[in-house]
Amino acid sequence: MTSTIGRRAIATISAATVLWLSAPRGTLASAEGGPAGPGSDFLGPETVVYAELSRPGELLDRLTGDRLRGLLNAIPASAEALDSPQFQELRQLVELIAGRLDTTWDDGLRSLTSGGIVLGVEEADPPRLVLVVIPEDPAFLERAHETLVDLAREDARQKGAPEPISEDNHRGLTTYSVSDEEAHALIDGKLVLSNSLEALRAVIDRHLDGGDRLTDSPFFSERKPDGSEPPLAWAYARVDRLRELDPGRFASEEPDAGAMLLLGAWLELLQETPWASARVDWSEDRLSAVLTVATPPKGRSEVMARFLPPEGAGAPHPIALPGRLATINLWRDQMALWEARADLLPPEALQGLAQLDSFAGTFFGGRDFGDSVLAPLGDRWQLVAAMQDFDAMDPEPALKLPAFALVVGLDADRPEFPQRLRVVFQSILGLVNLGAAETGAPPLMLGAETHEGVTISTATFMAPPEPADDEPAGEVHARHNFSPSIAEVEGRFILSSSLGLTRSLIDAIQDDPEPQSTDATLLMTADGPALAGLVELNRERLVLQNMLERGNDRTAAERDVETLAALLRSLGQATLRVSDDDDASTLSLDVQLGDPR
Amino acid sequence: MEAGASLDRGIPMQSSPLLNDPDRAWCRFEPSGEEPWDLPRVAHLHRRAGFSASWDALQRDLGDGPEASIDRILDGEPSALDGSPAAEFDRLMDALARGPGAAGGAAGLQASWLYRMIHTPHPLRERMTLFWHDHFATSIEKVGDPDLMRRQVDLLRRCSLGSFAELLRTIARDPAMLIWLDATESKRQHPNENYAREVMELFTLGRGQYTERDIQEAARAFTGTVVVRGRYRHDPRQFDDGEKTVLGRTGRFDGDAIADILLDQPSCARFLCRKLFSWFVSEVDEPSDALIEPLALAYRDSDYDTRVPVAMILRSRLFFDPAIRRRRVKSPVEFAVGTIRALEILAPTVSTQELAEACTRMGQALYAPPSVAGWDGGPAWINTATILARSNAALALLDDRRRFDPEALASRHGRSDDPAGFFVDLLVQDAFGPDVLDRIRGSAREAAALVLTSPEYQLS
Repeated sequence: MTSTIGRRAIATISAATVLWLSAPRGTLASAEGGPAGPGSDFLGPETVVYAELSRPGELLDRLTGDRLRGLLNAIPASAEALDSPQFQELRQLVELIAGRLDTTWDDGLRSLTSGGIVLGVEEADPPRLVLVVIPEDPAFLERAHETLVDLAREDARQKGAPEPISEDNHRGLTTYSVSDEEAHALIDGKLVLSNSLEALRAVIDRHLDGGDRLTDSPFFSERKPDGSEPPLAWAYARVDRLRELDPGRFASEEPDAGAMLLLGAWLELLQETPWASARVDWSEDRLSAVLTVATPPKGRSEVMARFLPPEGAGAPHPIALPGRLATINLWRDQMALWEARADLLPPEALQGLAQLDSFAGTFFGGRDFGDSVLAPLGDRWQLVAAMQDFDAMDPEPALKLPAFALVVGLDADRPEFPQRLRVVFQSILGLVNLGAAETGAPPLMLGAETHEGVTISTATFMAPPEPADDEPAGEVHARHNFSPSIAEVEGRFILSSSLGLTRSLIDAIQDDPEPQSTDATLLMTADGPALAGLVELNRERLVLQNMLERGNDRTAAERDVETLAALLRSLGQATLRVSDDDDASTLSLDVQLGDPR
Repeated sequence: MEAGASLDRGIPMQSSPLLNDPDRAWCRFEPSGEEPWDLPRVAHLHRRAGFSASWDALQRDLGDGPEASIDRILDGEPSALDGSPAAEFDRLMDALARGPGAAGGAAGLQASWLYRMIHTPHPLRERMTLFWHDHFATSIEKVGDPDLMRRQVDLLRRCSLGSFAELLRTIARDPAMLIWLDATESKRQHPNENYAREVMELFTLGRGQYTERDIQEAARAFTGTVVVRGRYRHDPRQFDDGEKTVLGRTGRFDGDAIADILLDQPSCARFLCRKLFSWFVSEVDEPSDALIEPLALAYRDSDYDTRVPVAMILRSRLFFDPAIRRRRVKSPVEFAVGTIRALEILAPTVSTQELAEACTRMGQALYAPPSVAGWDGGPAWINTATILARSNAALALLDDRRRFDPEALASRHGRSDDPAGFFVDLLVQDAFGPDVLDRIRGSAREAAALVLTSPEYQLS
């Protein structure tokens, strides 16, 4: 069990981090100094998980920067936490320790970590954890360590507690332990920490005896980013070894049919990849992360390869249109997957697909679902969410929902297919109206209009009746957000929840009728400030909903909604991209950070 | 509930002698040396006229005496338990029901009403709304449209302590009621008898007070009723304006006139007052006609102002007779809301969406009574499934450490040295005999759990 002082030391380090977030920006020194030697030297070739933070000072700059401080200030709960008595007490403790070191905590921590931090997990029984912290100035590290040890002992003496830190000597080096689960030493001016004294001794032995190192391993060196411009953080894992060492943890259940149809190839890759790496970069206004998952040596299976685009093909570029909130753009040959469904899905899911086949046949004139419905739809799929022009709506719904649309390419060799889709659309609306007549739900009125020469088939809900004079008006139902509509434009089919979005999409597609493909299989975008705008528009409704869901009073519910809006504004413009080649699949997240206020 | 314990353990064996003495029963309760204004009486007032109250509310009313306490119960508090002024709270709750409540269907409506009950500054009004919801039982399961149900309950709330005559006339035009009773289209040629039957049998007179002929004639007065797209319309072309004879009176009656005829029947006030007796006084004792008559007379004399008989009951000596305590089984909603209010689980309170599900498991889905007769109530609330659901709901409240700290509650009220005694005093007062009291011990959480799952706590 961690001793009191051990917990206090950990709490102190945590507190220091939090304090930096609240410290006045002007008091912070910029990161200076270089690494005093690679921490990875302390790890052996049997390392299965490796992570390094090459420029902690830069991370501190981000954590203490105006942007993050602005976000914390914009989130009422965090501002309250920083004002709480508990936090103030913590702050005093941190200042006490900093005072003993004749520095400020932010300067102190920067100095202690400016050479980088390395964390590794080595294959051993039990697994060996090694943390290496490289300071700017080894003498300062020694002084800081001595001060913390003295404080811990002083605290224990005052409380009549037993000696909190045990000392030992191993081959001339002093080792320290605060519990059976921790041991550390200062070696060559670096702090080396492990998960037991025995593990620490093994690390020391290897270091003194010049044993094999991780850095000598070509497998590692080939994957480590170029040293001239290392990322802020980088991590790597030998997934093949981890899978072998702990098969239970990696044994995944058979994915359900939905997950398989959406993510099939990537699920297989996660189960079979030999290694994976990740990097994170965070500049003043941009956050990016890249996860690379290697293809197994035998390559991808034939069935799963059907999920991926051939050379030169890829997901379409997001459609540019006003009020866009988010998009999902996907390359997917649905027909190829339909043909391989028996290899992909369990029998019960196949039964469901057989029903879908039969159901679709009813609407598509008794035709086969795959050949007659999926094949003419092409392989470039887009889902768009956009803000609606609520002011122009009559009636204006109380709950304001975005509009959604599916846009998919059409096979030019099947000119009759769009007409068939229009008939299906009208048939489905007819069925919906029949159901509505039985249940008393409001019916949809079918209609058509021409926009920029394109015919739109649409449907709108009847407006609610006017309330009687003595009757308080109810809210306009959320159904009035929807006016389902379809259109065909420039060889693309639009199925939209709203007539307004259909018009916007027609304009956008006519402006750029032949968009280039990206090199991604999947590309997703989200506009944080626009989504925050939607939250603001529905603020009152979300507050009330929060009260019912969480039992909050109005003030607490308002705080939650403000937090959500601030987080979305901070998200800025986010893009997530998945691309696949013969060697690996890569997931990249790129966020152009926004202003939380 | 404790293993082996039965509900009978909590019910007093002897009926009150006042039940046989109407004059003494309905005279005002005046505290005396023998009948002091004590904690059990204050807690009984809140349990029956609202929901179980917090320790502070009990102590305040103990100090203020019965007059001021009952006035406050009848008029409501100036502010809700979330601190907002009563009028502002009502506006917020109306918005809650109109917005996410109605949009969430039955579950949303239930959650919004429970939220209102938990924080309400006027618990008696909510209890009476619940009374009328049971009386004019209408289920969303058939009505379908949540907004119509919301509007019906709003009507019940508006009239909950006001004019029953107005309520009766208005409910005949309530779209949810008409859909529920298949009475959305009643034409001159084919009068729909459903509403006419229920208005006599269930809403005003009770069985045996009318004939089939009365129903057929009254149904003609309700013709011309149409509900189109959730709105009531009167169609004069489909109204039968001929002469009708109902309960011995003849004329060209319409629906309002039928309501007046029903209200003029002495059996109407008696029928309603028997239900009020069962709601506020005892489900176990069958009141004699002589006991009910003074209440019924006062109700009729006030032109059916519901506040009059309710106030008469709450101020009566009978109401505060110890023999009347625990002669009702708490409904699931009374149990859940009362527990939350008494334990001050308010900021935040529980998710009322989850609470609504718990109430349904305990046997009471608001907005969805099982039949036109409402909930059976009384012992029917308790069976092996529902008692388990009650225990689970109580233990879930106690285990929610983010929302509730029993030690802190006892400590806040100066009882950290005796948390078991505190929870007994707060929740059941004098209900336990010495042998049971001996078993209420342990930490505050353990003691609270023992009290909340006891048979006595299931009773009101």
